[in-house]
Amino acid sequence: MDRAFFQELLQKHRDRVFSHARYVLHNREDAEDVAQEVFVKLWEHGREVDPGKTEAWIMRVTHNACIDCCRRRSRNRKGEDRLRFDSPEAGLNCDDPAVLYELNETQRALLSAMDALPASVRSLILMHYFRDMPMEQIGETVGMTPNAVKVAVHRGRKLLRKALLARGKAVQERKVP
Amino acid sequence: MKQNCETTQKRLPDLLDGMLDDRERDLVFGHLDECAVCSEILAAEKMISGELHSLPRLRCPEAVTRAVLEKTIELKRPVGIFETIVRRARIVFSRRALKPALACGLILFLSLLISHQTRRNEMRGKTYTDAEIDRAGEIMKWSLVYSARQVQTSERRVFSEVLNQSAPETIERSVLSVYTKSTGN
Repeated sequence: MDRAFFQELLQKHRDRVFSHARYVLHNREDAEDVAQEVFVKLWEHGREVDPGKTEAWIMRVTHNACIDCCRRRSRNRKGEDRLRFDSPEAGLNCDDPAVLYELNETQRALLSAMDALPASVRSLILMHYFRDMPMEQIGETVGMTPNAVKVAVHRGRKLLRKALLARGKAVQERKVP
Repeated sequence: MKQNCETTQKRLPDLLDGMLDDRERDLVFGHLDECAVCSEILAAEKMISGELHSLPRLRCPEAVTRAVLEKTIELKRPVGIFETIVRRARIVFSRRALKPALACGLILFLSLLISHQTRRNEMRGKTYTDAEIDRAGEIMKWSLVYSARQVQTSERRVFSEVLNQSAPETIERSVLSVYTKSTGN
């Protein structure tokens, strides 16, 4: 792959790839590893990638790398307590307090609720809402039918909605006494 | 006709994505006006999409960019002599260009082979008489003799010039005596 073109792609997509991985994995180090892996793969397989579909290729590799990372993590860190975005300790112990500072309360609650979803669904939800990708494009990117993507996102959203409603009730109950 | 809750809730994501036509939208809104549960769900859906959409875009740490560059375009590796020559000569060697290059090389080699063979056949076909061969031999012999004479004459001239101009008189005399004795002049 041409050096200048690779550097251009790296500059253009690095923040998107890192943000996506960071929100899917909820861990800074893992997100950094995924971002590295994606761009090293791009360099190695750049010749095989259609120049018009580079962005979709990067997104697909990011999606797969996040899922692989989650699988590895579940094997290696079994039993280890995972820090939730909305936990009271999060602000003090989170690996990246700057991120928590930028998130509002609802966003923290949503990201924590997303933790209960499989990594693939988290990634699809973020592609749709955070990256503004239509269902058809997501399906094309990850190799699923648009309907399958729709169903997965719908299920994830249902769970998030429940989590939000539960949280709303809990907040209201806390306020009443 | 009015929709029930189940149908409406199924269509809420499409409503938010702007995927419904006018008729379907009217049906959904008609139900939402009367149903508090579905309205609450729509509000939650809006909140989810809005909050996820406005998640801050995080900056990729510089250390990651640095590590990527070190593993890609700045990667150091041993290079073979062939690659060094190719790079020095600025020959672009890509996988795509390899096959056409090999095909061109093969065509060039075959055309050279064919032309060489044709020329050889032409030479073989030529014939000469004995007189012509003798004449050619004579010409070659006299050419060689003439060349040898020219060398001898020029050498003698140079030698005498050197003696006259730069050699001391004593050396000149001794050299001349040796030369006279050897030649008998």
